[in-house]
Amino acid sequence: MEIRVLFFGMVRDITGMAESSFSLAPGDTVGTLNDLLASAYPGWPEKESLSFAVNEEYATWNKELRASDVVAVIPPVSGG
Amino acid sequence: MEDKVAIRLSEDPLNLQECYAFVQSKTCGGIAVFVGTVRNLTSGKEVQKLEFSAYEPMAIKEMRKIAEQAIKRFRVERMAIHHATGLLQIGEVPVIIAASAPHREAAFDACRYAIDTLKQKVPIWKKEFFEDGEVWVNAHP
Repeated sequence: MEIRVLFFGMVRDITGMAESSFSLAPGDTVGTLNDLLASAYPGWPEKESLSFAVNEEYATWNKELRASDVVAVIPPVSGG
Repeated sequence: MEDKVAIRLSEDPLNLQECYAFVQSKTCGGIAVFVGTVRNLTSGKEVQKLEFSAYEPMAIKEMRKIAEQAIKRFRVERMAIHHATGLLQIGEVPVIIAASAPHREAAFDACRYAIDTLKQKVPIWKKEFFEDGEVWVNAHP
């Protein structure tokens, strides 16, 4: 299944794009996606520093992804 | 809850009077307002300008959650949270939070809760521009 992934902040600079899509297998999780991104992009941040959102809600590493999901990679936020 | 909360994420300059007017209420004895401003120094280094970017739909949702949570947790009646995106110069205003409450403690507490939580949770990112380069700010002190 293809998952749409959005990049923001420093992560957008690392990937060089605002969004992309990635092929995952059923049962794959947010953690799986992070591992895939970490191996695809040199300089990918430490897992501990990142958050992920699925469909605009913060998600845990073990959340399983579905084909229609929109995932966002959220580096440390710095609003305010 | 809907009409007690005003959320805005905008490239336009923020409007203090609008936030103040939204939270004003005849049942409230106090209004607390927090205004964040762009500072000219980071760790002693001169900042020229800042750029804020956001995951807009999620940022708006998270800001709304914070305001609704603040109303539930503290005895505040209304809350406005406005945040700017795009380029901001020194002294300009990236964020305004206003809270009204029957008693002042709740208004102060809710404002502090809202700005502290916003800095931890809302998907907004700040890039600082210096004379010799630019850097994503990756902390929320």
